[in-house]
Amino acid sequence: MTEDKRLIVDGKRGDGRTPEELRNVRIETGMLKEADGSAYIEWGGNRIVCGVYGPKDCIPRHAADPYKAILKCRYMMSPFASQEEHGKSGPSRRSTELSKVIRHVFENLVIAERFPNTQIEIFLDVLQASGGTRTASITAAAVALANAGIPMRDMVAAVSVGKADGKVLVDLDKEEDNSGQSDMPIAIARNSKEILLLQMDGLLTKEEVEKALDLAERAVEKIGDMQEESLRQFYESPEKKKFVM
Amino acid sequence: MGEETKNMILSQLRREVLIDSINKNKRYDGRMLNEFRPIELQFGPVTTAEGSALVALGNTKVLAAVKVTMATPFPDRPKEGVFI
Repeated sequence: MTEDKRLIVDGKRGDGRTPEELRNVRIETGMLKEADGSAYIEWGGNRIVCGVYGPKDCIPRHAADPYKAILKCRYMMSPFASQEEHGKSGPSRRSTELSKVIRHVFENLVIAERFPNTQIEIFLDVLQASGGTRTASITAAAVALANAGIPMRDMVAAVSVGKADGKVLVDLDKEEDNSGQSDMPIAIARNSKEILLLQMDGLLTKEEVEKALDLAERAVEKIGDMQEESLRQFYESPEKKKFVM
Repeated sequence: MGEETKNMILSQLRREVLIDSINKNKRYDGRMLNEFRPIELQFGPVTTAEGSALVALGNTKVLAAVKVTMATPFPDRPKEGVFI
């Protein structure tokens, strides 16, 4: 974390955004024909496909819970997803962590008691990454679960807030994440406003956290509207959409 | 009826319909015998890769990407690159 780098000039960020501004977000519902529910999200330079399968028979069977459905989540980054040299395929420390934290978000939302002895699978494939893939993944997975018709207590949208160049910013891109001072991804439920995920890298003062939470709450509101719009569009015009990246 | 028997009957029915429609110079999805499913090509959708293409043949969609990076060649082939 280098502090000498100038990331904000005249109140504008590297890509011309103001501190409270989000990158462009586009959400498409129902991209995968064979999945029970799916969503594709373009968030700045991030491109993520999410497929939801289930509730279906639990495999392995001994993992089944006779009282509720179990949730499985697999976050995966394509070897060509990042700007730097190609990564290796297969699970990594990072992807294992992300799969776990994303699963925890939805374990708090999905009404799993309705489907005993079953499993619900969430697959997240990052095709292109540029900072904030976990928040974009949560946003896409919420839409895909809704598309699969899985009952949830609430909807969720996520955004990252943080500090770069001494300023509190919303929706950090890769550059700001790598050279900034702090990064804090937050997932907030749409109606109850409960915080379902909060992680932090780097440090923030108490005042900065309060400001960041306030910014996140407003940003999540906007993303929630986009999720709703995407779902509405899918069900209002059921003609098949083209998958265009 | 067992699940297995049910599946067997269903696949038999599906097969009959398929062959029947081919004999009538038709396909079950309405295509002619020499007709392709709609093909769609998109070049360079992944900007983090040096080259990429998205190909859709009907509902089959495949994304391919190529990454090029610096690497050390094998000692016995010092003038050749490495293909993974």
